[in-house]
Parts: sequence; C-alpha cells; structure tokens
Amino acid sequence: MTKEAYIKNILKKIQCGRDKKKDIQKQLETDIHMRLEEGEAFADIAREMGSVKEIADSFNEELSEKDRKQYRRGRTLKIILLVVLCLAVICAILYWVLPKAVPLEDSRYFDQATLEEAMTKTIDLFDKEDYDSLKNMSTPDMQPVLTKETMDSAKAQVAQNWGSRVSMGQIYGAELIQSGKHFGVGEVTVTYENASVTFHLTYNEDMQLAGLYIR
Amino acid sequence: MKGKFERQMRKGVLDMLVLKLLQSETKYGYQIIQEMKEKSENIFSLKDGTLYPVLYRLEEDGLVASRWEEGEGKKVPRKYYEITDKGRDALAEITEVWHTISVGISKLMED
Repeated sequence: MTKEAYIKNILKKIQCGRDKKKDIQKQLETDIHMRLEEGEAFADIAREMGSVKEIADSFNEELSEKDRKQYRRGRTLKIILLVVLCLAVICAILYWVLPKAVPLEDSRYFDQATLEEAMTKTIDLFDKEDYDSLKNMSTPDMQPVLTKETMDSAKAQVAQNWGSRVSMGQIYGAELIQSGKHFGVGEVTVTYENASVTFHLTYNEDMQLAGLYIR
Repeated sequence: MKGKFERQMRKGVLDMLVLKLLQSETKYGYQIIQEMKEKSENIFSLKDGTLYPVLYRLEEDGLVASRWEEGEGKKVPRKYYEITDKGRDALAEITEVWHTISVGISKLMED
C-alpha cells in the first residue's frame, strides 16, 4: 500500500467532518514524512503507526458528539446531493427525450413555405395512391408501411370511399425537437366528397416524410 | 485477556501522561510518542493511531491547544501541542487521583 492510499483509507473510515479530516490528514502526512526523513521504509512506518482499521477505530472511539453530528450531516448532505444530481440527470434525459415544440418562425431548420409545399405534395401523391413516389421522399423507416394494402386499410379506418378531394384547409406547422433530432410537423384538414380527413405529417431535417397519421 | 486489561489501563492513564509530557514545553505528536517511549523505557510505546485521537480529544476538552508551524527550509510543517491552564489544573487533579488510586492498589495488592 502506498502512503497516499494508507492515509486515504484511514480518512475514509473516520467518522468526522471535513475540516477535522483535513487536519488529521496533514498530521498523518507530517508524521510519515518525518519518519521517512529518518530513513525508515514506509512499510515499517505503517506497521509502527498501526493498521488502517486500528487508527480509524481509535479516532472513532475518541470522537465527540459534535464530530459525529458533523459526519452525519455531511453524509446526509452527500445523499441529498446525490439524489438531486440523479433527479437533475433524469430531468435532463426527459427533457431531451420528450418532444418540444418550436414555432416555425423561430426554427432554424424549417419554414412555413417549405413545409406547406412538402405537405401538399405528400397529400397529392397519397390521393393519387402513388406510393412508390411517396416512398422515394420518405425515411427508410417509413418506406415499408407505404404500400397500397396498408394505406387502404388506414383509409378504411377513417371512412369508407372518401371520394375526390374537394378542398384543403389551412396548414398549421411547427418544429418538434426530440432526442436531439429536429422534425417539421404539420396538420391540415382535407375535405373529400364523403369525408373530412385531418393529416398529421412529420418530416425530418432533410424534408423526408418521417410520419403520416390520418384521422 | 492480558492485552485487553493492558489496553484499558493504558487508555486510562494516557491523558495524564500526555499532559505531563506537555507540562514543561510544547511538543509535536511524533516527539510525544518518542519521549513517552524513552521515558517509560518502552512500556508506553504508543502508535500514532492511539496518540492522535487522545490529543484531539484533549484539545476539544480545552486541556491542550495546538498550532501548525511551518518548518524551516524543506522541513514539513509540524503541529505543536501545548498544555492550557485548564489542562494544568486537570493534570494536578488527575495526578492526585492517580496517587490515591496507586496507594490504594498497592496496599490492596500487598495483602
């Protein structure tokens, strides 16, 4: 064991406040240094001074109630700090993971015109059932679900036989930040002959379609 | 069993011996350990781990006071201990108690 480890281990076991520990550390370092100067080997010095447990036990036996209180307070404070730190980390992770909305005017990644253009194109292709073109402008995760079969099923859940498109409402957009990634999201209600459908579309930073939700 | 009694008896007289050694002049810890060993002819060969807790307690009780002194040249700083007035009074009291006890013990052990 090195001199540093010997002292560190003793201090770790002594149940008193930080100031007293510092003083004890200085005291032990001084003594060891004096003995080393006299030519003693550290192993012999440690044997003469006593084992880590012996020294720590002796100190702990002689400690006053004030010292013990300080130690307990310090330990409680450490636990509180640790809990606060854990909570801060959890909050930071949640903040990072949970989506945060940013108005498009404040976005550095998306603007209203580009989003409107992408949404209009997506809905046009959706209405034409041109899923191959939709796939080409989608993220790899989206591509497998953009099939006629899946889309027909989704459409059927909203309404049977929507009919032709009659009009498109106003597009509302925002930027969503989640897990460090930026998404442009937009919502628009489209009126068809037999149904009124709200599209909720999501695009990544490269304006690839990353999400399509209809209701 | 012998070790246990020895430890308890030593502990009981340690306060008195430390105060006694500090009565004439201030001393640093290692010096106290060495003087105690020499003057007691190796009977009180103390380990640092035994002395320092006692010194800290005596200081807390106001019987000794301490100060760190920077060493000259490359010497490391030393913590010097000196007996206080309260410590001198306590030493006188403990010494009296010790004499009374030792006389009583001697008489008892002679029987």
